[in-house]
Amino acid sequence: MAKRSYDLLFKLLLIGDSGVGKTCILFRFSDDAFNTTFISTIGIDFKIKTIELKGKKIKLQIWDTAGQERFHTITTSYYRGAMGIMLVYDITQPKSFDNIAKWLRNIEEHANEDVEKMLLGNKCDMEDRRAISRERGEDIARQHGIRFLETSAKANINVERAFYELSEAILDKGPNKDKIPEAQPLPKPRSELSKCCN
Amino acid sequence: MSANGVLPSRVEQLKSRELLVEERMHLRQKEYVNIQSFHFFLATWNVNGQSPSATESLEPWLTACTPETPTFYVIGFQELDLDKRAYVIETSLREQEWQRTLEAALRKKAAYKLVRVIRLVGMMLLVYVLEKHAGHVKNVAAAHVGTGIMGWMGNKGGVGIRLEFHGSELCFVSAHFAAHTEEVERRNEDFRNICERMVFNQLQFPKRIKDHDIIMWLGDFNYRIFQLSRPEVQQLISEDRLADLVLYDQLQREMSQQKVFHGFREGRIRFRPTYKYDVGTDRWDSSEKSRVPSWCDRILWKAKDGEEVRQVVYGSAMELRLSDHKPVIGIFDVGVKVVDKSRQKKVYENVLKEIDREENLFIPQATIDCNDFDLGELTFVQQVTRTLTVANNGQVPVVFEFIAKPHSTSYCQEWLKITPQRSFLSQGDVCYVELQVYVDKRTVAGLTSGATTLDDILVLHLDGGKDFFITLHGQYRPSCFGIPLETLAAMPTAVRAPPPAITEQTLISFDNSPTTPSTTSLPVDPHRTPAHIPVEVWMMLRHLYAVSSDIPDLFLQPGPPDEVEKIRDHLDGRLPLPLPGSGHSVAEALLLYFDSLPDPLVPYRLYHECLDAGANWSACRFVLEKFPKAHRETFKAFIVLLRKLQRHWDQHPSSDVGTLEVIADLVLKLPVELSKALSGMGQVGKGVARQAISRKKTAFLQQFLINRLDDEPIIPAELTSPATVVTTFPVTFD
Repeated sequence: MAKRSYDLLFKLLLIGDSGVGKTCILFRFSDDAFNTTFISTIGIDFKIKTIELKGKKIKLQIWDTAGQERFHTITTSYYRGAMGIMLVYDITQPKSFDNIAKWLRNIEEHANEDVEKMLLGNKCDMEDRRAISRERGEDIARQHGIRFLETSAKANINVERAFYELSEAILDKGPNKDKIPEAQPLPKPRSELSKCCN
Repeated sequence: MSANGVLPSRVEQLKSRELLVEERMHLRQKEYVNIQSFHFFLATWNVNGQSPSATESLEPWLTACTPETPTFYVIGFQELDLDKRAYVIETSLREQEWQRTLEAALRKKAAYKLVRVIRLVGMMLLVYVLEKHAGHVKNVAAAHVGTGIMGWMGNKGGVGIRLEFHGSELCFVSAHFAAHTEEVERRNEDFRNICERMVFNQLQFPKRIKDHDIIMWLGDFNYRIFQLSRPEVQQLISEDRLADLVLYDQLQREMSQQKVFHGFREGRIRFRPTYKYDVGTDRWDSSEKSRVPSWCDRILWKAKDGEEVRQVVYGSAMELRLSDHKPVIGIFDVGVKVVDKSRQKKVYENVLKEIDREENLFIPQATIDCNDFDLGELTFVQQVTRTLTVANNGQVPVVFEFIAKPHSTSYCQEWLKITPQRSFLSQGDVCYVELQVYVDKRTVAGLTSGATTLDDILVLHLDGGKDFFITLHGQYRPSCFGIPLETLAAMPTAVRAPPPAITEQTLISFDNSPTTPSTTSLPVDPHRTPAHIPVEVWMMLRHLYAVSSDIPDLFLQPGPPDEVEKIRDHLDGRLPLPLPGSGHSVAEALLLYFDSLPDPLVPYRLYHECLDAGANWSACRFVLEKFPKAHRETFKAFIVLLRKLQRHWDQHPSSDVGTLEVIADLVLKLPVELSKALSGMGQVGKGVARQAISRKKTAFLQQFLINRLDDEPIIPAELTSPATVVTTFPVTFD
């Protein structure tokens, strides 16, 4: 048995249009389950999951964000401090694919400079309703130099792999003081969100 | 964030999780270990201070009695060194002599590795392991406890070695208890003492003897045969009736009464008493002390529930004669927990998953009953209240708090009040949060102009947990309050049609109305209002001019609640006079209107000029000419009203106290940048500056009250004839 249970703590973030399946991806990964009823995430939530990578125990704190347009100015304030961001689109919804550029701009503006990014084309089990080919997904990922996977939270395709690959990319970047557990409170999503009285 | 301080730091959290993982793994050990039996050879000998004999081989004792190759040899000695110097000298020649001799004997059997040796004066314990198994021995530690002279010296006591072999924790203690037949209680005490005082401190978490899976004691415990004479004992031995003799053994007696070695087991004794012999022989002690033969030298063990220990041999080696004791041996098959790596990995992954699940479960959780509030349509000074229910449906207490959004200094818009803004919820508790929407003089101008809307997104944060976004949206229904003077003066129609319930009635009965009954917007004739004065302001001035002369504390005392709302509706519908409500309320509404203006009655840009003109009438007149028309005409009409009121104040001087100052403060409003400068000053300086400014403001108004302009408007002294007015609003005249 390993002497230490946790070597590192990574903060990951799921972003993308409303309804692409961010919450389902997280639910599949953390609870290995799937729920077909759609409940829009109105806010920010997170889950904990421990994985083992290259002999290291890594505690992932995965933040799930509201995708709705009207919340964008608020949700972008949670980007800071994220070490990895998963940008999700829905292969059956062209609009969600078209918005990738906008989401990438958001990352550029609000996330840490060295954040690891990954593009996920979710709902790949719905071949009959596919609107975005895998090639188009690969192309746009290549253009922006980011990792790409097609996933299905429902059919449990590539979900675990996506989190492991993103975590490995963060791990491979070498020592980074953010990743080493240090005497710091658990990361909070926002430093700019502060309490204030009317 | 404030509550972060309460949370343990990241390191502490991870460390506590680590311990949790270890504990869970330990609890589930059965799922990933196999019990595998290993041969353990235990031996003890009181050598009476002798060096190893050059002629006498140790083979009969250590190697000849078993065809097997034991995995472990655990060998204890007592009275290794009777030299008194051994009490104080750390090294002992005897130790090395005996160790060498032992190792020479073991080497004949197989390749053994010394795990650990410990010696306290004459007591020595050595543990050897077969070399090929050495890699599975971990966390070895040794300790000693002296119970001899003065209760702590090392002539009596115990030495212990503990180790982990595969997944089992083993502890061996070699002891030498107090001598003499009558000292039974002392011996029991020695046992308790060693148990209490022996601590293996070298480990990360110190352990005691009792903390082990398997505990084995060996040594000269010195318990004797009692109640029998020496001839009787010798008789029983010679008849080979050892089972009968054991009944007189002090140790077995004490153990049956649970006075010592509680929970320990001993194999059946089938060997002759090991003490006391004439050295070099197998003859019983022939000295004048003539000791009664006894089983001083013993081996006992104790295993935790489920551990497997089976004794194969329990005997003594009569062939060794250099001491007055015979050595004793115990051979055991010990079931050791051997870890199955692949099963261990599975359990480990399971444990991590389980802890993740629990940690997720213990994240503060709550539900809210609504995240989208429709406030409906609301207008100036109309209060709308919505209730948000926050319920703690999680496993831990929750602290929730409304926090500011990015680029925002406040957690909600100015027209909203949230009670409570922060609260604590026990598990299962519910909190009703009041969201009060109220458009007042601070926010009305912005909403009127469209610069702001009745929209907001609240961020409700759970300490250490999620954030909810709560959306509020409503429509602001404009009122005359908050509309700039020029705009309002230029409006040909009422801000709002009168409420349907009273429309028809009021229109039909309206006095001198030029409008047709089908038009609902103009119940008051704007042509009768002087140019550039808003109809609504004129209505209030007229009302006050007609009714107010004998109302005390006008402009100082507010009217009954809700009346301002009725006046607002009346004004917004431009309904016929009189206005509903008391004179106090109408005066309040008039001041409220002035106070809600985006640019006050005296425009901000002319503020300083007015203050400077105060003492000089022509300067005052000059600056008035610079007022925008609507401001100027309204100002003049207001002065006419004030002059009438002033005559009243002259009769009742007490009413006058402060009234003009209050009015002056609202009419001549401090520009924003100046009020900031004031707030930067100290308390005393602020007070002095305020007083000076207040004097200048009232001086400016006084100029207009004392002197008279040629073109002042004439306010009718009478309201519309009461007989012709039918109104559904209650009208009160104070």
